[in-house]
Amino acid sequence: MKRNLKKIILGGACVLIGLAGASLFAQELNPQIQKGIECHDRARAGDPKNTDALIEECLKTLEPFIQTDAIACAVYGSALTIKASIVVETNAIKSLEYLDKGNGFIDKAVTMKSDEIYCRMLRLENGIEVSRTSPLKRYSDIKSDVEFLIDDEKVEELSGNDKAEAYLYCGFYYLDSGDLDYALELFELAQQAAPDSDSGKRAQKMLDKYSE
Amino acid sequence: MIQIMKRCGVLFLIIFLISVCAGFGAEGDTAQVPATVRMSISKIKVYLDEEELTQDTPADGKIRYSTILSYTKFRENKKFTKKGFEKEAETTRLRLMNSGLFYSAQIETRESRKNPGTMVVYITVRTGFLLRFGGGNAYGLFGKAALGGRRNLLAGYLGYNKSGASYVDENAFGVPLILGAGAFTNVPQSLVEKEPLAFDTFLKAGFFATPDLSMGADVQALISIKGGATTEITVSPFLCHTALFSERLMMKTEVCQFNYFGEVQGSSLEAAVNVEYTPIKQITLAGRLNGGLVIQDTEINLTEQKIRSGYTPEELTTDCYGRFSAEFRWNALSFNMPPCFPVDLIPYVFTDLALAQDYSDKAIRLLDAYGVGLAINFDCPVFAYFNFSYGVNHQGKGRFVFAAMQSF
Repeated sequence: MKRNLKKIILGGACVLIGLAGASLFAQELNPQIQKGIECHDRARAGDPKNTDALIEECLKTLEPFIQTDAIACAVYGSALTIKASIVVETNAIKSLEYLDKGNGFIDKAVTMKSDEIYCRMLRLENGIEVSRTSPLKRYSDIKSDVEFLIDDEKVEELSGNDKAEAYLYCGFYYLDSGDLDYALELFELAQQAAPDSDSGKRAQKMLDKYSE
Repeated sequence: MIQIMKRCGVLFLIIFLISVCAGFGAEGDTAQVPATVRMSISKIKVYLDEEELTQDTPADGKIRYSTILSYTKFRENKKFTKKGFEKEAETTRLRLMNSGLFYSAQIETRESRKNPGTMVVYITVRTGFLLRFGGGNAYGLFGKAALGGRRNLLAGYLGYNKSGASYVDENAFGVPLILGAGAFTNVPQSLVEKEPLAFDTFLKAGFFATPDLSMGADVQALISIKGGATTEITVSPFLCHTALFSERLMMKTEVCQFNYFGEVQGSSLEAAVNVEYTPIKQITLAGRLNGGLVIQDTEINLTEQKIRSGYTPEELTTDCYGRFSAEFRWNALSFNMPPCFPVDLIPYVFTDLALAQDYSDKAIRLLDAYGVGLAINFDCPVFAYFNFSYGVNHQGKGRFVFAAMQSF
């Protein structure tokens, strides 16, 4: 159900818990899992020299926890999707295999802990990127994540950068669903939440694209 | 019967014109829709993999601006009603996705802020998987689409009964011109089974009058060598229209005339209308209405896919026919075959009903088939389709049919 997001922004309170990544977690993380997340985030940030090694380190570090910890399971799945993007040029079929497996782990993580915002956001972002850049379509899987963030107002529990990221990808979801007007509304909120962040800048780029 | 066929020819023409008008209707209102303001397009913005493309953007191996625009009726300064914009936006999206060149396609239309009263069209696509794998009965296919960013396909064939290559460009030189050529041989089958060595070549030329309407001609030369060489040449003008009403409803109309030269001379005309409707994701209702008649000195074979039951080849040879086929398809199972090939298993029930007549005999024959089948579809990135069916006729005679194709 759509809500008037400007009312939420004006009326709600945004609690700054911490910096990106760690601000999303409701609980203290196992140091090994934290290490795996750091490797994942550095690989995701696009360090071309070390991405392969970072991903392998991430997978190795998180593997013991994927059956018991939802966040570890989600990050492990996301790392597999990053691995897919690494090998896509040399082995497109293997890339699809990694994508499929990665999506499976991310879905499992959300099932293990459906109220964990980090898992939801990871699935949403992976779902958008995978659906746009591969034959695998994940829109029906991530619909509940959009509803969780927007309709259930969980986006309000996030800090500036993470909030911008959440609005940005929810905007992409509605854009891909054909609702351009609502998508632009969400891009505007993303840009307002953190104008100087990567997500804020991407949101501004989307707003500029449709300002012709 | 010939009178019936001539009337059916008129029916095909009417169906063809309706489907063409349904396509042209995107640009204006139909008689049922009240007249509304028509707005012109001031700009078309094309984005490929998040980068904006223009006519001047160098290809660099990426899909070209002209290739993407070949799938849409939107052009700068062209006018549409509001409903027309919505309809053409959705149809363009379906054409782009059906091309197999893109993983995703979004089309948005908005009133321009810089030029109020005009519209801006945004086309955003992501490059898809461009390699092609496939095959048929005793041969494999490997190919690549969008070479040089163009709307083309280069394919190599290798197998027991078909080896060769083909190239077809559907937007040659950046204009809606269709050009193609291919050459095949039946080695090693001819050596093993001591059959005539055959060389099969084709040339194709045509054009797209609209993104949905193509016309042209195929010229095929079949050279058989055994003792001496014989050459059979077939010239086939064709006309084809595809109407994409929505993601769930599609209609395709084809008319083709076959003109034979060489040892076998003659000509025949065939036309077909295919409709596919998917009311829910797992169910597809498909219907095909087709017919043909001999114009001069040849005969039509209703073998294999046309009547899928146990008639002899002689029983399936005729001078004119009208046929109706229907299939009820159930997408029973979709899964990924290792390493990650998406596979759809689609069982279906079918019926083929035809009336056939020879010119020398006024009697009209009923040819029928009732049966079940299984389609195994390997969609992107494999693009290979296999069809197995078994049907019986009212005489109880049955036949198993295998076809390397998606549907009838």
